[in-house]
Amino acid sequence: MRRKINWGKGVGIGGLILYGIFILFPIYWTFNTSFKEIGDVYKVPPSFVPTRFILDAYRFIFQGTGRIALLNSLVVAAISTAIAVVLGTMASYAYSRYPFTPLTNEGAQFNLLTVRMFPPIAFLLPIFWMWKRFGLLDTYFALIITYTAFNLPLAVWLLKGFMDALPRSIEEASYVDGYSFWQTIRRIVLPLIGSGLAATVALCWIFIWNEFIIAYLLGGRNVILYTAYLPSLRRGMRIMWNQIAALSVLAIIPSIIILVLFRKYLVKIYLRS
Amino acid sequence: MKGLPGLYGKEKDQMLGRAQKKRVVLTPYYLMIPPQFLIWAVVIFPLIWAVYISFHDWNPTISPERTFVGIWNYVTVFRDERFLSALLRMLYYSGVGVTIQLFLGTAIALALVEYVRSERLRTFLLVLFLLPMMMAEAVAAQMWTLLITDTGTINNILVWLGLNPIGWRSRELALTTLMIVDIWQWTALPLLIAYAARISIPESLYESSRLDGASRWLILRKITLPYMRVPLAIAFLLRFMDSYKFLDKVFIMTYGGPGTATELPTFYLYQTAFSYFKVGYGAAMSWIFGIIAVIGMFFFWRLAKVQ
Amino acid sequence: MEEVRIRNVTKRFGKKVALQGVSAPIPKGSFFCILGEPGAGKTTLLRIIAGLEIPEEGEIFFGDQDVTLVPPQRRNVAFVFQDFALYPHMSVFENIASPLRLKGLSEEAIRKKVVEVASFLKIEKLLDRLPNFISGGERQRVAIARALVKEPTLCLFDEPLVNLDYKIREDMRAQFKLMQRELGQTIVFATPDPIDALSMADIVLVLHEGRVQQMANVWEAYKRPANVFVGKYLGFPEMNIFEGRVSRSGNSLFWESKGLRLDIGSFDFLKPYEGATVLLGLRPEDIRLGDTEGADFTFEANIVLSEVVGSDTIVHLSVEGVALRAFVPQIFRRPSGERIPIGFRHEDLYFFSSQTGKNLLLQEG
Repeated sequence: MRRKINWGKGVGIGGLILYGIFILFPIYWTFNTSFKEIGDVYKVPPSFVPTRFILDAYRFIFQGTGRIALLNSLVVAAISTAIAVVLGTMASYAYSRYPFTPLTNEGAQFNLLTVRMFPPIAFLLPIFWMWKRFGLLDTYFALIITYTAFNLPLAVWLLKGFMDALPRSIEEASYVDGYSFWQTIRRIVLPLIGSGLAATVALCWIFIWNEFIIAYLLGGRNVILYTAYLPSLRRGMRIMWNQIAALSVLAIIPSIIILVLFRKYLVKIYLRS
Repeated sequence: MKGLPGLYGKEKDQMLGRAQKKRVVLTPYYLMIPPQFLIWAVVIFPLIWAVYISFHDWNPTISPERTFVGIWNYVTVFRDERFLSALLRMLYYSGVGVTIQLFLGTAIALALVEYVRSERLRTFLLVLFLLPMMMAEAVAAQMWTLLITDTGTINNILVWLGLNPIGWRSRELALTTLMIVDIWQWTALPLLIAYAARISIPESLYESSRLDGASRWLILRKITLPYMRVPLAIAFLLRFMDSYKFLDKVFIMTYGGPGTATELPTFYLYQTAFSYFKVGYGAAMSWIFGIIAVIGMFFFWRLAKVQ
Repeated sequence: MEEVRIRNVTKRFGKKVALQGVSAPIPKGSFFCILGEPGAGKTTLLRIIAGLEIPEEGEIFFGDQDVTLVPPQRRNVAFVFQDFALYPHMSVFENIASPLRLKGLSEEAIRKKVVEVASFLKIEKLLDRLPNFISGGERQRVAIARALVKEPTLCLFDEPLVNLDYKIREDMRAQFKLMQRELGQTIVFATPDPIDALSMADIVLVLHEGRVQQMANVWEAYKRPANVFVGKYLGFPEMNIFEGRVSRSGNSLFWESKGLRLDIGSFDFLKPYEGATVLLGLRPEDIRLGDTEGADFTFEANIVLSEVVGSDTIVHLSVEGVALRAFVPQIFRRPSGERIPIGFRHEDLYFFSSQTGKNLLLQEG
């Protein structure tokens, strides 16, 4: 009996270690590569530990289009998250509190959710031509609005969970106390879903930050986001792996921050979304 | 009782009607106007336009003329061997890939709860394991491309160890390689769900069965897995539907190639609509795509409701 | 003077009728109790009075003003919710101060009022705490304080005692009554518990399936229930109900069921019911056990079970195979099967129509 337990434990811990290496290695290797000179990237045997920290790749990213692309991503994601969360708060409140009108009943909620489950590429063909028709292709406006529409269902869905958890009677107590609808929203509802709101903002933001195909098709020249910029680093005779790696490292920093900050919420949120 | 002051009759009824509308019914409409406007403008209106265009043959790179072809585009989709084989490829890719993700994720989650006693270490490992999921698919694809090109890191290590390099992006292996990268990135989701399900099982159940002298294997089979069945089914469906959207990695790592070895439906749709500019045909394909997604979604919704 | 008048109120939710033609005056300074089972429409009625719902038909008057369409913000009512609905992100002080914040009072005046109400309810020590960190009983006092500080026209309580422990509940009843007397506050109190009504209320309104069964002074309703439902519901334990036939034998009327036969010659109002089936009601607390002196009717009964509830006892008896319950306000332990004489008086009997359930005594007048 005792022996069997040790055996199971060995397999379990061994599995965890192997899986950890599997997960960590590509990330580590990207980190490692970002500090190399381009000549060292292809070396056999590869250098497993950076011997000296060469910052050329980062310098290149920060001086050229890379910086613009990162800033663009940052701004586009921030603005469209802000709009999506404001609209999402309105819609989720309506869904949660008045679920019996034609615009908010179960069918309407389902329809909104299908927007999220549709493959974005299936929407993109008409959207692409719409923006082209209006001459808005490759503008901040088109990107922000498109992202907002794609993220709205997620925002609504997450926020509705937090709204549902808020007892209706608390709002009614506020009405009876004499506060108007909007005063109640500001004084009671928003503070009470505050942490949920923060988690929603973080998640919406990271989805836009991570998105590729919309950025690639609707942006690209005037407004280039980093995900669309990444593949362009691979064109040309020599692939600048150290620069790609440097940009990748910069790009996953927000993911790490958000993951660490919201680790407790993540279980709840993913089960809902 | 009679003669109480106040409004009666018609005047009263009108006022009642107005007030009811204002206080009970209209608020949700006010609230829904801006979100609905956005969805209609950016999603529904273009989709309706897509229906219109799907009845036409239109290739703007050749001529601005649109020829009406009726439902011909829809008929063609179902006779398009490239589309059908892409669909089969997707079924294989999702079926095998998602199953592996599910088993691996569950196993890792259980091992994490069972063998890692320190709360801190457990949280650290969980965050590490979830990290790939929070990264851009595009970034993950780039990271792995660095590892798997013919002269990439993995092959370099193999050569250094005196082994033969492997053609990760060859016709035979490319789809499997994509699957591995997808497993790397998305095992995190079933892992997270399995972890959440596992820690929500009351510890008292385990204690009582341990007192009864049940073996670990029996406990796993009789308590843990039955409890986790529903969350795992949800995880499977979620991942299966997500993989339906799968595009970024194909785009960056293989661009559908070599040949059409990794051409999944989303990528074929991309090629049709944005490389060959067969807009009408692409629109028809988009719609068929969308309808399949909605059907899948509907079943998922029903299942989620049952829970 | 009437403070509030409910006039012919009907409310539906979809197809379900929550209230049907409810009318009631609520006098100023009264302790008004709405009694009914869960789902009887108590909460809906309270919400309509508060303005949280609008009825499909009927009106609500405050004084002589029709407020049916006036939103809750402008009604000057206070509502103590069943779950207390305290603002979890605000301190107890801020919770109580909430209705005052809109009145343009100085910070000092607000503080003075809050402290005054808080010390009246003995929660002045909790003012800096958050609602989630105080006990259920304390939370309820905070909710009451928030209601009282507003000095409302009337104060609505939605089943405030059901979420509390048995012990605290007993305690709160007395405090509620004292508080209401001291302040002269009009209180409307919804509860499913007849003991609440009997121990606190001046006036009781019994609701059943959205309809008013009876509205009267609480002892009037207890002594002269309008129908079987009120008779059974307003009282603890439930009234014993027997079905039997009225028949004439000699010059007297008798009420007979399988094991019981009672001479009811003195009940003139039963004369028209000769030959008909009527329901007989007998309150468990009116049955005397052992000492039957002064009783008009006496029987021999078998003790089936003595069920001790707190410091009282519910005795399950059997008379000639007919089961009935008696209530003794002390601990009463006897072995099962023991025979015991029981008795009750004329005025302890209630007669109800077997068709409509109406009290036959009231029917006549």
